[in-house]
Amino acid sequence: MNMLVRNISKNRHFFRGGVILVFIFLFIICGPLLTSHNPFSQDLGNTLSSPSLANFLGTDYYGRDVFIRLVYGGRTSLGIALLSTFFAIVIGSIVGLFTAYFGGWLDIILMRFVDVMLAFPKLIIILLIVGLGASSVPTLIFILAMFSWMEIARIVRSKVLALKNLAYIRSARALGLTDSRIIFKHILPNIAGPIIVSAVLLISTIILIESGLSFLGLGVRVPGASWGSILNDAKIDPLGTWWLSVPAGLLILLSVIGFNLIGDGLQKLFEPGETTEQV
Amino acid sequence: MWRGIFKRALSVIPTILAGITVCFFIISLAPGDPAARFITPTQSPEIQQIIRERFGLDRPILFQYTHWLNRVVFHMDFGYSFYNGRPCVDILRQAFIPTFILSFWALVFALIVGISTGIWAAVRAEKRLDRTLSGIMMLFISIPAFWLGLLLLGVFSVRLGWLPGSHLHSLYYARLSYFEKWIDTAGHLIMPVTALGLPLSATIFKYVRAEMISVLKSDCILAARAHGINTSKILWKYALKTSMMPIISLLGVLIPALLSGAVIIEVLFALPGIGRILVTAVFSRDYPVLMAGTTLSFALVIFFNMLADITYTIIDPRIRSGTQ
Repeated sequence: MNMLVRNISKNRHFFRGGVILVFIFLFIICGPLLTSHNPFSQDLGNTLSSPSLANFLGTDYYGRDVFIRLVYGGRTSLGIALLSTFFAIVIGSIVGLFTAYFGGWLDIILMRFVDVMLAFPKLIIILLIVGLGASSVPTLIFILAMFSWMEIARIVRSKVLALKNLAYIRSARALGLTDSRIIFKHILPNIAGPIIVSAVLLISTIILIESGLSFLGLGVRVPGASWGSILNDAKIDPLGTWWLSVPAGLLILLSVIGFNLIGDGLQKLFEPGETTEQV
Repeated sequence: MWRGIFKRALSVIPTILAGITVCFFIISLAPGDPAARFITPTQSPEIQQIIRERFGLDRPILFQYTHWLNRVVFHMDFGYSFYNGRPCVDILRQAFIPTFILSFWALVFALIVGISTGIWAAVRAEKRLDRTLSGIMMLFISIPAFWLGLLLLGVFSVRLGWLPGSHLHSLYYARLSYFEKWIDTAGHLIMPVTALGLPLSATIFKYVRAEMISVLKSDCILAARAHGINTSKILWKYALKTSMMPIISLLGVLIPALLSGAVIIEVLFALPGIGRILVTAVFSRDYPVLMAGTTLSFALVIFFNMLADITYTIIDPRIRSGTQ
């Protein structure tokens, strides 16, 4: 454990990503303390005002305070990304573990299914479902999870296939351990590394997809805010209303960079082969 | 080898059938009624029912499915748009051209930028140049393409007025000479291609760099060095060739990403491509167009995946001899 902590603190990527994310989470947690505005209350006498002391980041087309909308939008965007990644990881790990471990017709059918699902351009198929169905934040989370678990399942499956015939698993089986005990106590801990890495990288992918959908007006809908839907307002005059276009985009960019850096850092931690300089 | 290729090509058929079935059911099981948008509050509900019958939406779902599948598979007929009555095939044929032009140039751009910087960084791995390039590419891989597009649009189109911000051609396109037509289209494409290609080039960079570093560390390169072959020849003749192999299979992953990315870029830059058609069709619940559009994008991905696999088989001697 000590070793792990030391490695993490020496890991440039992990450290930088962590710092970025700490600031973003501080922003979305403590943001409301800095201003008395409400993210939904409109002030039609004060629309599109540029940043001032009253509105730190100006107001949008309906006179809503952009700063507080960015705070709440961040909660929505990151909340959606974290929750749907969580569900995707659970489904993907279970499918990957069981198909690889038991093999047989279940493996063939599920993996063919995964192949088909992966061939859909992700944004197009999600756009279709979200656009046609009634879109709310919970359904958005559900749909993003339903279309993201396949990559995880594939990674988990390949790792389990590699482990499955190693001596220690075979001896566990020879000792008469139950399948579920072998899977959860002896296989899962050994593939936790790759699962965590792909989870962290998946978070950034989902942030990008969600913001893209909301930017098109299909994800989080008004009056709800997400970083993508705030950018949607900036479409009309990107530079003229820079307080709408720049901060929201920067927040998306920074949180994606943060998760990507942490993912890269973790990858180096879990695959020591490439980290000779850091050990 | 040819048998392997033939088998791979055949395996596409069940996948495409499964895919278009998923498309059909996702769209036709969606809540909401496409006929509702043609009804004004003063019209009687029977009219809505008549419209539903016109569209064939009153039939059982399985009947609709077999009918649709039959027309698609045997006649290449995707039906008519609910919205404007045009044949879906015509709509898509028209929309395919801008999407193809955009994706093609974005891919070319991404490959040139990604591969050249990837090699450059790998040769100087863990030096300052590599760190700088990797940092810049980390920025590009994380940037939302539509935000990049939005900012480019704001600066070069709205503020400076240097580049046109929408459509593929200018209004007076037909009157231009051949050479001017090229310039005109290029001007329209610079920003969308950059916005779509730059994040993609970062993905390619990451792969090329990692692959190149591991190839340069391998024994065969060491042996070549020991032979006294000069560095540039090692790099360009041996290392490059070996490390380009995985790029081909990477293309299979990049094509879906490219099509997904093109959707938002097309909407942002008002390019009349498949993505924009799909987004408009989602808003107007134009089921036949949606089914045709998703089927087309799905089939394109499957086709390019197959092409990547086959190219790989032909190029890689290990696989080539393995399947014989």
